[in-house]
Amino acid sequence: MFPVTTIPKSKSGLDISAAEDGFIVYQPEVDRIHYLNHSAVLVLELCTGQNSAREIAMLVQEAYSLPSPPCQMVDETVISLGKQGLLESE
Amino acid sequence: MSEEGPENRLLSQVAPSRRGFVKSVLAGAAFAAPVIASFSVENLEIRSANGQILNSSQSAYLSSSNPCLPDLGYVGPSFFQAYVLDISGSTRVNGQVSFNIQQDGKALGVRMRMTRDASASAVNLSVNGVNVATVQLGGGDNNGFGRRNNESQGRITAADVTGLCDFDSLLQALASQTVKAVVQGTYASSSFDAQGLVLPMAGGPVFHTESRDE
Repeated sequence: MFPVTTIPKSKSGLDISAAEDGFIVYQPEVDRIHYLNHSAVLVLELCTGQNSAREIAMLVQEAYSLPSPPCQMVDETVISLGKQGLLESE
Repeated sequence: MSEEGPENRLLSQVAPSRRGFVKSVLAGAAFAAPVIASFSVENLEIRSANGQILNSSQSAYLSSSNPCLPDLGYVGPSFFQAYVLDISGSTRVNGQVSFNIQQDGKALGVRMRMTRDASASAVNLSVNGVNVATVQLGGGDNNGFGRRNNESQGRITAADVTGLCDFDSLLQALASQTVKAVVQGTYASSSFDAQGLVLPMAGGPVFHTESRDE
């Protein structure tokens, strides 16, 4: 399980391409493709190794003028990104 | 006046090279529950060649046959695959070449896997016998990919496309099952040509590029 208390960092060199209604990330080293919607790809982009999941949620809240930070959604997304190998492992 | 706003604060958190992309993501849609769907390319289903559109359209993409009309973009599969076989019969070399759209529709990644001891060096794509793209595989080319075991990789960009109006024409030709792949390589010190029809793979996301003429 990828702990959400860490400072997540996306893997370098990911090829992210816009697709219909979302984005495609292809990982040739494992021959896997990932479809991410706008929100998921935004979280991935904010996994810079500088922000905690909580801080990412606050940035998303501000950018979209949400009433509260979507902490649970971001936590779950970070966990999922980690499970799929899109984040650097610790 | 300060430019510090919620969007700018968020953009300041990403690398300058990614800010344009992130800005487009922010502008693209309202925040919704994040969705991630992951799958192996091997699990995609190859589409039957029975779905091939009329033969008369096979030359529709060739710039020698038709004037280049304004590009309307591309909407179609993201992944393609060809099973290739040395049809000369001089060897029993065979393998699988996979193509996936990369770099926002500006490139096509190529991955080749051959039978044991065979080594692929290049893939030629043709429509109606006319070469439309060639990619060198493995190390030593300008794509930065290495070769390992019987796998080799490369990348096709607009600069590699010949005989077609543009890169989108290549994608359209691939999606409409009119492209033949010929893999060149060596096996036991002899050269071989293994070939097969490139077919789109179902189950992956639909790719959508906008017109590049605008």
